[in-house]
Amino acid sequence: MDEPQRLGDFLLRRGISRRAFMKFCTAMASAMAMPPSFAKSMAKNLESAKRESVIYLSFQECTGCAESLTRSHSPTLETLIFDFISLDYQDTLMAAAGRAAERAKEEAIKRAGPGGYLVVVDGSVPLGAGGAYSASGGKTSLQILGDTIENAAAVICVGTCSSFGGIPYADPNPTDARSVSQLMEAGKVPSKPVINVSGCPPIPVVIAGTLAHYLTFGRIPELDHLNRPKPFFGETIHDRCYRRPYYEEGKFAQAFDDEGARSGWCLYELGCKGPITYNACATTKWNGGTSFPVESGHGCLGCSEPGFWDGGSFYKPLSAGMLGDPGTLGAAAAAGAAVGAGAAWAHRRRNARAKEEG
Amino acid sequence: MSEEDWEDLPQPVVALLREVAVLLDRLVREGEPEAIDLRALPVMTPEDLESFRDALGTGEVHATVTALGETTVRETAFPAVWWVTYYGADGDIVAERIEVARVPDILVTQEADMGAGLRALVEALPEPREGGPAAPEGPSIRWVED
Amino acid sequence: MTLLEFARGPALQVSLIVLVLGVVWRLVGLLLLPYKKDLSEARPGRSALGGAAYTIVRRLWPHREFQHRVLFTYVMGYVFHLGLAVVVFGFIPHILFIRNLTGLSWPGLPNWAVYLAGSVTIAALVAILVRRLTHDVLRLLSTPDDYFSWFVTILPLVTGFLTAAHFGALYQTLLAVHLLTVELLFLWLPFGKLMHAFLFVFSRGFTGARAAHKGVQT
Repeated sequence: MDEPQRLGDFLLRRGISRRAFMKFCTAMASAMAMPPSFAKSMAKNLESAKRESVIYLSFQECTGCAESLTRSHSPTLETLIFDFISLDYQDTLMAAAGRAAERAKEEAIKRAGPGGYLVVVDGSVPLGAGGAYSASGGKTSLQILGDTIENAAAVICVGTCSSFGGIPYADPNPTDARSVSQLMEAGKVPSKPVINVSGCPPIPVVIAGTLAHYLTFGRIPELDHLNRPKPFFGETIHDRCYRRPYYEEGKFAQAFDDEGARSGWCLYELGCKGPITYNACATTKWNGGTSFPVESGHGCLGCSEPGFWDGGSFYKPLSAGMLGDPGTLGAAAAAGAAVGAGAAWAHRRRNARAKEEG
Repeated sequence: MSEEDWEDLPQPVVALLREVAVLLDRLVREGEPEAIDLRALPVMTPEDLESFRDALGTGEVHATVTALGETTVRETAFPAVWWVTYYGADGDIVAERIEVARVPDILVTQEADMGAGLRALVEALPEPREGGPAAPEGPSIRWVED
Repeated sequence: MTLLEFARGPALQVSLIVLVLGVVWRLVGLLLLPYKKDLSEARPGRSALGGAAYTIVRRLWPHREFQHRVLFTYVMGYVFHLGLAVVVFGFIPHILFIRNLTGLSWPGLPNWAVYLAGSVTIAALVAILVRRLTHDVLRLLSTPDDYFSWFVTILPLVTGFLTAAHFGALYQTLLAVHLLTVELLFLWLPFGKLMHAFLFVFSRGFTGARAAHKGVQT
């Protein structure tokens, strides 16, 4: 509680000079595809940003998103931003447990006051079996979500599960899992501004950058048609893919490890969903800019898009249909033959009758 | 690379060099610094990027900043045109810019850092001892707690 | 379900069922129709089947006497049909679509060649429409079927270009719309003028068989 209340001072206390902070803002501005002059104004706003209370709720998730945020070989400004945002409740990372942890959460919410805190949601919320599939401390996830976001300023959905339903939502969705947005639309939880930071998991700098944007401007960044922050989700993988020239020339790898694959050709034929997937993987990449799936030789799965688990095989190209049972076409042919034969037979009968009468 | 060879440079490289000239002109006439984010350019082949780097050449200044990872600052052959590469803590490039300014932003000392440094320096200095040599005459250290 | 999932899934399923059912229905219905046996003796020369085969091939190019009337139609027809074949069977994503349905595949063409063929095909289609609208007799003979069949043919070409250019909407919307226009073509094919794709063989064949019976070459 005696931590400095402004981000700039907080960082200085941690041994991060303003110069280092300027460098972070330069990198963040570049990652958000903002003009270079933006870095200075971002630094000015961000250094006087107040500590924002954040409650992190984990529901039906695999913890991959939380792991993605904390994956770093050395402390970076991303992890420091998380230090700064006063992560008042995060059940994997926090030291407290049980009732003490729940109390910490309630106190943080009360302290922050209405509209004074952010809620980060990780994982989908199941409605099946009265919500019993995901419950903690005697309350269902649905109840916890509703109670927690009641007075929140905004909800940041981290990962495809909370944004769009993700893997629990995939066919046949046995737990009746829903995304946060779906719950709001159905009126099952209060409606609040939502930012969907989708991805399975999302790229760490995307999560940090979205938070940084919120801290800098005190408002939500510009969102796309699925409520994802446009600075990171404005372009498809295909738009910025380095293998694009091969796509244009029609040079596609036909099998993993064939000649084309070894030459780095386009992975469209091997099922790459790059053209319909909006994310920053092709520019920002993963593991500190090391690589991304296409660069490592595997097609994009489309993990930041809704329903990607049910979008047909990961290895069937986008232009392939998703036909159910091919046997239906045989049945259709048989049915057509039957109708045609029937029509011809009726015609013959008419002729025969006319001959009899005439 | 001599100026005559610039005739043979590929079109995207010439366009970039022209933009640098425009920004430098603005700096000279109006004193406004600017930067070009190399990551935000349309897809440029590695060869073109190399040609661009060669065309700009090197100047008199080469600086390394260590702040949450390294940053290398290289003055090009054209004064006030700097090639700045920002590395993350893991050694990955987090940003790369051509900065057209008297001094690139990262080299300039920030106000708050100066204040923090002054405070630390004064706190570290020993108090003048009783009976010891008097503090030398001169301006006293004076700062305002912010 | 998103529009793309719909276009790739149920819409494709239904349109293919209608296509297969409709085509088989019409062909079987046609071939099983009663016909009066010709009791007169056939002239010597080609058999019925020979006459049919001959006429099918001979009419791939018009007789010199009729060329001044029909050459435009024939040439534009070939430009359109061949261009469409290049696009449909030469573009790699299309080959992958067919492979997914049938298991068959073959090497594709570079994209630029397909785009060139596509442009030429669209130009030919526009020329054909203009002719239909400006030629006095053709215009009088034209029915809604003629215009609608033209429309469902040019639509996939136009939407295909927009999709390949990633122009006009989100890519998944463009791709879904392109698939839906192709499915519209499938739905209409068995029931209108487009059925000529299968029927031309029988029309020409029947004429040729009758002519051969009469000892006439046509």
